[in-house]
Amino acid sequence: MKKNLKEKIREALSSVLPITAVVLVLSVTAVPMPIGTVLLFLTGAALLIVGMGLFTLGAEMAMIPMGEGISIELTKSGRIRLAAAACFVLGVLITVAEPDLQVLAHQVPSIPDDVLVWTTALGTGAFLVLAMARVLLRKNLAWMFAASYALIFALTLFAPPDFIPMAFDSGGVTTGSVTVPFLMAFGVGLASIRGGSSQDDSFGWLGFSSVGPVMAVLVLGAWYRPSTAEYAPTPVPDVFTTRDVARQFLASLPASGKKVLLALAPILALLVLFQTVFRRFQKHELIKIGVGILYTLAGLVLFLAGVDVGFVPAGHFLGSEIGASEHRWLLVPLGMLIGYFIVSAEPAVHLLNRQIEEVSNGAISQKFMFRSLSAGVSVSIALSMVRILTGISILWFLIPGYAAALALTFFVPPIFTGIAFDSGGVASGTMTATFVLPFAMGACASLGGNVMTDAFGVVAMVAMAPVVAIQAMGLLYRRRVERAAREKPAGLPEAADAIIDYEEENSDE
Amino acid sequence: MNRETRPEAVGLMVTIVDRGKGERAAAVCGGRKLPFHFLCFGLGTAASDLLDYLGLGETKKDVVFSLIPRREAGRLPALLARELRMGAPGGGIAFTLPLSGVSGFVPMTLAGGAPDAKGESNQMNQPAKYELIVAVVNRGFADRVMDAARSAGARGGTILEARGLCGDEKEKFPGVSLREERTIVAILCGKERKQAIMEAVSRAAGIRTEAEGLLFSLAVDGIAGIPEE
Repeated sequence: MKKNLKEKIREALSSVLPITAVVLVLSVTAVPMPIGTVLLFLTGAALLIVGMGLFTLGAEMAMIPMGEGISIELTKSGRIRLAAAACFVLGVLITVAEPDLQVLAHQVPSIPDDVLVWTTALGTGAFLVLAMARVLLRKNLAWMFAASYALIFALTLFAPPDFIPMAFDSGGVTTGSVTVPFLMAFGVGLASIRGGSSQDDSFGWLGFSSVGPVMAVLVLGAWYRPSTAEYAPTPVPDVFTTRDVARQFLASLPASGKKVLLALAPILALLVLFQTVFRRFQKHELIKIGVGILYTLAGLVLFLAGVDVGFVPAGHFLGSEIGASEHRWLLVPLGMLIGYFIVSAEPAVHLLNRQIEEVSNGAISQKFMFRSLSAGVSVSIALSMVRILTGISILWFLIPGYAAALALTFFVPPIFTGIAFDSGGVASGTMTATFVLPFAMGACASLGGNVMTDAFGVVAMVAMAPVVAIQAMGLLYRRRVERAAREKPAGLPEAADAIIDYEEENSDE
Repeated sequence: MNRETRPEAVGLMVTIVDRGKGERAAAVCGGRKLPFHFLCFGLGTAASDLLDYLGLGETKKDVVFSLIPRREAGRLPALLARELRMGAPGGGIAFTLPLSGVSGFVPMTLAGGAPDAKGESNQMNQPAKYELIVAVVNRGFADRVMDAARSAGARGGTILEARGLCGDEKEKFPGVSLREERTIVAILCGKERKQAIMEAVSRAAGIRTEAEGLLFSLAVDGIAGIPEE
């Protein structure tokens, strides 16, 4: 028992501490921060650590078995219309409830929150149905991605420029902390009971379900005229005493509690419905799932309270201070540093990496995943900062990036394609929406740039980086395997293949 | 036995340790010199229901299958137990099973690379005191198997998730056949308890129950990591 707890704590510490240290060092050197903001940030970080530990434990106990169970039972039922309808409803409900999406929608000034959230949700639902059809009909994942992204870039021609970065951002945050464990397990479960090579089809679901929202928001942009509301900067709350800090967090708990309850309610309802129809889980498992849901709930509430109160103001403050200073070029190396450490603080990334290690039986380790993700996101945030400094259109980065990613799909082992697109969606989650985006918005506002076109899009860049980085690693991996195969000692004697039977030998002893 | 003319006899060693320690286990027993180690993932069963409900019971395990020289069947598990500190509860176990046949390449390689025995005793000939019970049940019944096994004196078990592959896979969607979800529970126990445990498991989760379990047991010829009774 102690082992499990110790491991959870170690994991949560090692994922949140690095980014905390970076901000703390900045606050005493380049960017002096008011002590109140620092205090809020540190308390937030502590809540993040506890929340992250509880959340990953709970998700593994509850969300993953549930997702797996529902997809397996739906497939077993053999009713394709029912399965498709259930997939659609599931996709819509759980996206509407995703807290990360709400954080983003709230920060978008020109579209009402509800319009953006529902558009995104409908997109996810539709693409989830497509993703399921793909696994069952065994269509090639690479071609599906190629076709979808071709369509997306065609659509960008018709959408107003203000819409484009935000459309890609919605795709990135859709696959957030609540959606990821559930949908991921959904895909893995379905692939695991279907005959044939299940590993290759276990992943790619999340990546595919982040395509839908981008498309949906772009379509929305073709006829929806956004109001030109001004971007309102996040106010840094005035705190002077430690009691003020405690009060800030306590005040935010009900709000984040409500957000998380709303997010989990449809999933809970689904579980009840599903269990009454299929009776899959034994009593023992049901109790475990119940406890797991409580953990998930508590973990997410703490986590969200931590980021909302601690990280959003700190990110915004950092961005705007550096943007306003004469050393604005610092944004680029700083973006790189933050990008490198922010990925491991993203709770859903831990779940995805663990699942990948599990499904590949250790062949693709968590360490490999974290390294590739850190490298990719580090570069992409640096590029986003360049974009904020220069105001270059995001399409200059997204089109070559995705073109490279899609070209790679034809050269890497299929499992890497699925994993790469999945981690694209997953890497851009809670931390990106609550720290990196405010950081970018702060910087952009200080520099006097257009927040809609320059600051938004940073989530999309974070989502694109892993798709390229992980496939590039996959290509290296394949090269290495091929080289190892060539270097195998040739010319083993024939006796190497002979079968030795000990039973016979024993009998003449 | 005349070892010069006969190929090296080979045994199968199974090492079950905490997730992440599998590589260390392979390194301890010869690493590259004994290059036949195969890793898969398993789950250690919980010690009590309460811990399991709280999500603190099951621990992830590495299950390493190694092909080793049979004459090392006594020594290597003991070496592993010492190096990986297996004596403590949950510290892991290692045991060996006799093989009845193998590819010629394996003894060819092992003959050259076995680590020095340094005159340690060859325990291969001592009578087996332990058995490995394997129960294959429907998904979700692992805890029922373990409850029954524990009531008959078993200490712990390891869970492997599996899929049933039978000839008549059901085609649910055109061109898509589905596999049954099964769970394998492996329990190591003293020889004298084997019958009782198997009977208890069969009563609670046998083929006539909803768990639809099948059981078999294997003789184990070397073991380390189980505290002496």
